[in-house]
Amino acid sequence: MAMHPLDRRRFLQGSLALSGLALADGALPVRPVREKTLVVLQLSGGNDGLSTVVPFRDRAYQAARASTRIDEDEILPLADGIGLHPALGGLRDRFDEGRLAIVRGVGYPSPNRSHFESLGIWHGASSDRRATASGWIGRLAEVAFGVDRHPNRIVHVGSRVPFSVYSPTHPAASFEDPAAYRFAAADLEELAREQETTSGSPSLKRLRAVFRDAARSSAGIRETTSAYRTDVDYPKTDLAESMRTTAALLKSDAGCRVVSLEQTGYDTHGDQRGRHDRLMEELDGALSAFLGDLAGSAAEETTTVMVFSEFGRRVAENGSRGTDHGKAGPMLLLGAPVRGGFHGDAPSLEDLDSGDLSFTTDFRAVYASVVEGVFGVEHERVLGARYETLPVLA
Amino acid sequence: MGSAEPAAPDGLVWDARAARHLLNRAGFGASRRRLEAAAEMGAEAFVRALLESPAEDRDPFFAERLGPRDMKDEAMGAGSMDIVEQRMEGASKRGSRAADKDQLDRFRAFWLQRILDDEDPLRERMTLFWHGHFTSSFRDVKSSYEMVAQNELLRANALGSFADLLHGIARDPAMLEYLDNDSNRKRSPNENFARELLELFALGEGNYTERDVAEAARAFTGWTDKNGEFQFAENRHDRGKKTFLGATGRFDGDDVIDVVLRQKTCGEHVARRLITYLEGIEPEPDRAVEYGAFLSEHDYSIAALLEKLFLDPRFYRDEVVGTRVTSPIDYIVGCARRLGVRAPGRMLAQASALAGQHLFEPPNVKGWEEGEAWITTSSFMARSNLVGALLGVVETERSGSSLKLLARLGGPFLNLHHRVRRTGAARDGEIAERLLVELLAVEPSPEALAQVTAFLAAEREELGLLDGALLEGGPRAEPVLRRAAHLILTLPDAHLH
Repeated sequence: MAMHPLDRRRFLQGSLALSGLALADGALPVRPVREKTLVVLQLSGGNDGLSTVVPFRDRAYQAARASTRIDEDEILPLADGIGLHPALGGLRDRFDEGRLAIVRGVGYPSPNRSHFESLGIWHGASSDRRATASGWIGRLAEVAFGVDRHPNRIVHVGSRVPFSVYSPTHPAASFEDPAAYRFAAADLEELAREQETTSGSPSLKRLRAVFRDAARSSAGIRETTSAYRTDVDYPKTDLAESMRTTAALLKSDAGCRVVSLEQTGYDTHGDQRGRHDRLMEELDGALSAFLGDLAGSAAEETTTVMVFSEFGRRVAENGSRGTDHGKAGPMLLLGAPVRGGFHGDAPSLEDLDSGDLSFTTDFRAVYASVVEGVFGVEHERVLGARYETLPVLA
Repeated sequence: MGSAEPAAPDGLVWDARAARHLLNRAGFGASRRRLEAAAEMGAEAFVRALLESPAEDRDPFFAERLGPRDMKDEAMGAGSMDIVEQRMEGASKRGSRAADKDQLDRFRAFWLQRILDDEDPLRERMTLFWHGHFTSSFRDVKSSYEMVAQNELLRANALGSFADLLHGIARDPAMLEYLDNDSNRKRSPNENFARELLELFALGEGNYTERDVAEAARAFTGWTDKNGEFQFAENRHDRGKKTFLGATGRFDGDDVIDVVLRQKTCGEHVARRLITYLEGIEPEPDRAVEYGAFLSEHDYSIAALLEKLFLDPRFYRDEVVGTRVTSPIDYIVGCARRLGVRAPGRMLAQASALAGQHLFEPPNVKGWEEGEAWITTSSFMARSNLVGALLGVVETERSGSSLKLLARLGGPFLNLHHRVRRTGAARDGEIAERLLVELLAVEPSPEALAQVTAFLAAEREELGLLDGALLEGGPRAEPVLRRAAHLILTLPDAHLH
């Protein structure tokens, strides 16, 4: 039975309204072509890139790292003299499949070793380092979607919402536990749904927009995630739990285009080896389960995962069997759309910038590649300048 | 009769609006009665009273050393590794961890109770500010005893001299642990503490070089802690010459702090942080310079700076008043206070944590990001649900079992319909206005008044009552008023102060 598109639209809206899933702004729930999505995972605290993508044969590496060194017999080799941390077995498999891109030596000019300044630089991604009104993902949403607002388009799963997703016109939905993502008083949720957002002081206006979005995004997110079932066995970690929620959102029609996530604990000033090993294990377990979960679904072909950290760590260890804040580090991109292998040049361990690796690839060039490859938006409009894109996406 | 107007500096209009603003920011909000008294007292007298603490601490908290780390230290002190092994075995280690966590929970409750009691609001406000400025986290420190000791240091000096605070925090065991200075040794310095000292605590980014960080780290080598006390480990200290911010000498940590305190940028950084926190907007550069110079000239007296700020007409400008987004503690304590619910500290602490502000566990070394960062789609829901539980108007199964404790508070303590009726309010619009004025920390917006009035009208009609007769419904009106209160404390206006 052929249905006229308009009838189909009405039909769908009607049935969604009945099930309490009516969409905001009268947005069409039908998405014939599945749109590409980006998952951004932040490793907070400054991941030690040298213990992640390890130049295990480099003598300078061996000499500099007494307690954190990963030896050849533990390493998961990728190429000549370069291997992955022993806990990253899942990622190694992706590399072998050509679905893991490793961008080496990523950073930016005049690096800042402060967590906050550096995170601010990564989140803002302005071309001249001046403060911006919105984060880079916020600006991406403003350019890519204009006045077409959707409360679930940008989602942060976790407790701390990063500045990267901040936008006064496209505020991100955020939650830690999707089951508790609701107004307990249903009549208040109804009222919030219709909240007027055009009057009042500037701060009141912004609050009103978030209030309305809260109501409009709550039901869809909750139902999508609570009804979600998968055969994939996710590890029992916070990150894996968040990635499971992400899979539920991306495999549904919740309307998400960007999901932001965070794994904390990378500020390993002391007793790094054991701590970092556990973080790598958690990371590999969560990413592997997530990619395994997407496998075979339509979302598999459209999802790109990008992993970054605010900086790498000092090449030399400190006196606490740990490492202090450093500069350049690797970025990872995973998924079916990714063109696997190594990208960018490996930084030298001998020609250091006051004890740190110098960057060889600007992180904004990686963003630019993703902005174009995933969203089809001219990157200059988002990033404010032109960067040489990398062939990280097919 | 001379002028009845109490003294106020030029340009400062001291009225109920100004008094409310000051108590929102310098304290944790106030009941209407307290505001009227403050407005009558006059600006200068009221600010002076705020700055004066009660002479005696009526109710100190005595912390014990209970954590696994404390036990380990203790045993180490006894010089026997056997004891360490023995005491750290299975059950006792777990028991010690639980006891330690429990002590910190009791201290959180104690602090929230103090905040709600409102006997020394400015000191509590500033202690909270310093807890964010000189932050440490229990997750890393792993000793409630040390967390409590740090809080006592911050409380004792909250209105005192910033110089004392800075010297004190550099010897504070929790801070030494948190920023890894306990492992900062001559042979391989750890620069974590030195960097945050310059970047976050005293100077601000851009006012020092990487070389200064490294040199300062050398000066702090050997500053460590043992058995919950500061200890100087001479054999780990680098006694060599250092060149730091243009000065050269065989500096130790105190010398470095003295050099820091001589920087013009130090007073400016502290003044900027304080004004940004209390006004909710970063001050113009000129103003930071003016206040920074004032702070340096007054031996870094926090009280002197606060007195100047609270009598500064710019503190009361429209851009500032009622525009700051409340923190979870401001929101929860403010709601409890204005509703008149005498919530126990433990519940307030739990509620603040659920809304995203878990005392002694800040998100990172920068403390809590204040202002609009508190507002997300989920924090809107969390706040609404918490207050719903406090008012006893939402089923707690729908909002998580952690709210059950709060819900027990509801019923017996509240008599909103009586409270509103006493004021003579009767019609929907009058009741709405009365509730808004009582429950909000800011002037209600016309949109909020319209929404609450419409809500009351619909509920009243459902009860089959005419406009003006709702409160005559007696107990039948109470649930309606509580749900109206829930609506008010959910609206965007309720998150500003």
